[in-house]
Amino acid sequence: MEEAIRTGLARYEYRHFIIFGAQSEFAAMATECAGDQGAWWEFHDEYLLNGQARTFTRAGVIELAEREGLNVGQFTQCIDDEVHGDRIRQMQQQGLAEGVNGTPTFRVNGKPGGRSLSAILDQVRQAAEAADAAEEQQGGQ
Amino acid sequence: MARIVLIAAALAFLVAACSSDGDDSPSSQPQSTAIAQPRQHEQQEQTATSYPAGRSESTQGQLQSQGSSPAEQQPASSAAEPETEQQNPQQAEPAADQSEAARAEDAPPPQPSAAPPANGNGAVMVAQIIATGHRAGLIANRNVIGDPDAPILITEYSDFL
Repeated sequence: MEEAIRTGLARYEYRHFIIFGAQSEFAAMATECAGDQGAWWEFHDEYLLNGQARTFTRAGVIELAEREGLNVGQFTQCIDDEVHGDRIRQMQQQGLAEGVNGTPTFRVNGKPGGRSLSAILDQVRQAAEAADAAEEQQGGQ
Repeated sequence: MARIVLIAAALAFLVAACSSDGDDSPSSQPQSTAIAQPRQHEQQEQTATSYPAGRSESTQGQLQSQGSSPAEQQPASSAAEPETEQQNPQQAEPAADQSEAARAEDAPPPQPSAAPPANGNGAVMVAQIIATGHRAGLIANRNVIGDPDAPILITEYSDFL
């Protein structure tokens, strides 16, 4: 999948889909606030690779923000004001509208994706072939 | 001799009569007051019409400086219209010119906007190239990674917990 992204064939988008309640929503909010300062993926990795319970608390995310060298005042205000609440809820609504009912759920060009990586890659290949065919058709006309 | 005395007496009477015309006689006072009163009333009217005209202008100026929408300005403008209609156009024009000049002076000079664009949810969208880690060299824009023009979009719905 990384190769597809690196070659410019595909792009990947992470969307929040809250199923575990307030703590999950808080983590999503912290990640979005970190994104305001260019650290979205650092927080994403912290949650998915380390996933310590402390990072789901206010004190924990502030520590993480300090560690990442963010403007802590701006970050804290962003969390307290729930600046990205609407953005997160909109992702949730979009997922529900697309029939998402569990995590993780993948989609390729809006179509339901497979559960395994190989299944998703197959879909990416098929989508790439379809895109090539469409491009050839446009070139022929 | 008697003629001379008579002539002198007649001259004296004439002189006395002429000098009495310049004095403020009781009959002349009401006439001058009657002329003066309309002038004072005219001045009061001018003052009364020019003051609301000035206030109306400043109200509009405040609305414009606050960035109110035309729809928001409508009630205030229509409320000010009756007062504006009363004003003398010759008096109103300089006031409007002064008001516009004052606004032009108060307006800050245009500055280049350094703020990055925001998406529909108000989130700041800043594309960056990841420098380290296994994503090094990839374009990232918050939760999106890869070429924004890539034909295939892989979406993952997930929960951090």
